[in-house]
Amino acid sequence: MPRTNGFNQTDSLFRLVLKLHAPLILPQTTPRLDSLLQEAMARRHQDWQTRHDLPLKFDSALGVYRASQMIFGMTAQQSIASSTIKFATQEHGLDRAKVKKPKRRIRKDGGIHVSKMTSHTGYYAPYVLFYAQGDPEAVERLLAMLSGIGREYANGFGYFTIAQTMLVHQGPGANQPWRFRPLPAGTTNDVPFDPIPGVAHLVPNGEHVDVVRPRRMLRETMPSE
Amino acid sequence: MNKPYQLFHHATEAIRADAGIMERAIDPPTPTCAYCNREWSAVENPGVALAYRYDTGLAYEYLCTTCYTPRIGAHRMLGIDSYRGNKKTPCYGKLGMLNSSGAVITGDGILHLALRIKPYERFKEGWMGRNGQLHQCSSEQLLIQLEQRGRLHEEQGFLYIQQFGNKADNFMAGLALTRAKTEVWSNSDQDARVFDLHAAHTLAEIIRAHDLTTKAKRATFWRDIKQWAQSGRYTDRLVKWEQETPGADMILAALPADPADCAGIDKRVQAIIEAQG
Repeated sequence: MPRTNGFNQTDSLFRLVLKLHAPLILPQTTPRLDSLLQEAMARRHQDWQTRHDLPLKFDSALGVYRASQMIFGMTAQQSIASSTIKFATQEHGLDRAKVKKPKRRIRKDGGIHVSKMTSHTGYYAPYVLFYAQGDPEAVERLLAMLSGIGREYANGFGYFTIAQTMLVHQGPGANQPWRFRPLPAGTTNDVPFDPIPGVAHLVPNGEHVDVVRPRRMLRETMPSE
Repeated sequence: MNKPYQLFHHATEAIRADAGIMERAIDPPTPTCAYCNREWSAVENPGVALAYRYDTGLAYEYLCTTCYTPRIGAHRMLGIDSYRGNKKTPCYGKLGMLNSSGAVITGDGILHLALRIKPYERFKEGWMGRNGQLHQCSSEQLLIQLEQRGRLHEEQGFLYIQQFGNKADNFMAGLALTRAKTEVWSNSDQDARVFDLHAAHTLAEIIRAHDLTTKAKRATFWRDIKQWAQSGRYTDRLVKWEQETPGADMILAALPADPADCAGIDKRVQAIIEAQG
């Protein structure tokens, strides 16, 4: 087998299960496994500009890594819950050094200015899952470098630990579960979901192009613990 | 590839033209727009920036013409909002000051504003009011009314603005276009959210088919379902509700997959039932 960047490029189709320990705030685009691995590689090499080789199979026909977007995993005992989380947002582009007279001080705990906080939806599910094709061991090693997923991960939201990686049987071509991700526009007949047109990057650090994508929130019921 | 911004820009062209903002345009001193974070070459008026500051003493922010639009007093399009000071200086209505008001921008670039009664009364004599683009209803009701009239097309895409809010930077930073009724993007100055309008239509059909339209107008009808959908708790009260309600299993199955979406599902279904008569 050819080796790329030290990874054993295998073609195993696997399911990666992450145990979620804190509410997750979804960004506008649902996180994908290839984007997470790109971030882990960038941290490993301290280089956020380069597009790194990932331990995933690259589908040259579609021009994407065979890796799904995040899917919420439920059990018979525990479903998905949501709550509103409020915190102060950044002042975009404002040079804080030049701010002479801030009119109000926004406290982190809200206080009397709680209405000034921006509300976000926090989701809590027992697990989140990804389907992918590639080298599961290398994926696990890389993901161990990350601790959170979604917005505000640096403040503890979306904190996860790796729960399980298991091989899954290959389904028919168009129904393979890694296809639950943005795919190039025009592949409408080859997707296992109701396609929604949109704009996204197909590979990490890539250009934004027209795509068809599944819904932002996908759910899957898992066997009980 | 910035369709939501293009659509917003197109729909608000007249507001900028009336204000003559291009006379105040400067060369951008920053790499990107302070709100939408797009490079100056990628914005609708490339290489044109406008300086804005909230108050004297605060630093300037450099905005593209699209992101500057909520800050412009629309004297012709909306009209006078209030009179300020001893000299009674007229203060014109701004999109960025329409807190708790929403809008829908159709795919062909027509801006429809959903206003509460007081702003509606103030602005109804403006050009938009005379042109039938102001509506005295909630933003969700406006969305459903326009959908019923066949003005929203998924292929073209449309912008649903749940409320402009009072944080124009947040509002402009996350503008998202709706391309499917199963996933309607609810733009506001809070975090962008999605809801499933198709699921609301299915629920309205089920309720109508089981003759539950009167019951569905009451908050108590939805209380336990919403609690179940948002937290996954299956309470005794829900069991009782299931026993008493015909078609209960169909209603539960038709609820949106997103638990956060279920928080407003009652209002959405009620608006659909009301619009259908």
